[in-house]
Amino acid sequence: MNGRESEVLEVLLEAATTVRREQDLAGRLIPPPAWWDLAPATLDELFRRQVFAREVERALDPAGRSGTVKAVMGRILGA
Amino acid sequence: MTEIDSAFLAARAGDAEAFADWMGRVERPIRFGLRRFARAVDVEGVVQETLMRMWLLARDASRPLTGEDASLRFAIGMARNLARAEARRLGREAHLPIDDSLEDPVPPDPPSDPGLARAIRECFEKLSRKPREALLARVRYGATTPDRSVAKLLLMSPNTFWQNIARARRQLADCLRGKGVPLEEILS
Repeated sequence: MNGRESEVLEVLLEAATTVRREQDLAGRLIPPPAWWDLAPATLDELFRRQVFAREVERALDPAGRSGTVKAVMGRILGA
Repeated sequence: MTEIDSAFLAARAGDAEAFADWMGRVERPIRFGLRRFARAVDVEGVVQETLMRMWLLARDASRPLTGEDASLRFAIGMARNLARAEARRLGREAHLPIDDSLEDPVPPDPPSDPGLARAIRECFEKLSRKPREALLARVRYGATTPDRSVAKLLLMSPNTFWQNIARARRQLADCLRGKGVPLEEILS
């Protein structure tokens, strides 16, 4: 993998690490656009980055909540 | 009764804050229970869908759960079923785990580690300015606001925003390793 390809992969992985999910008309959560561009083999690395990102979110959030918990709470309270 | 059971019991009474506490306790084991599905489905989406369905179940008095950590065990099973169904819907069955009996046992989440959280906060303070701004904005707004909009708030292009998040992650990881934090254990 050359430098440019590696830079593109980094951006895709970080974009896919987000907790924000759109919903389709049936209410199903849609994977972020970057997720579709990742090869299956790189999805293991995405898993690790998501685990790390959620730990960082817990540590930096005043209530100790990860982005996942905040996203679900947003839907529960907004429902 | 475990702390997980207590939190879920309070959520059954309609207490959304108690449910948030329950989610904080079960999110990691649910996610790690899906590790072998990572190539087939969007794990983050399945975790969130599982938590949403557990909220609906918590509000349904006709569906009791019994036994120690029953809500966690039920949620992990539900998450794996959702992952299998989602993989079929997306036509990605080929990436599902071959043998379900090999699924990793998932222990209840250990209590949150205040030492790790403190180390992350200390390392966060040492990040360079732009990566720090990008990461903080994502932590504050990322659950409800698309990254592209968060980037706009910071007057960054989306690509620059994600590159800064990547730099923040690398700098944090290096700092944590420097403090002797066993990062590989946390991520596996």
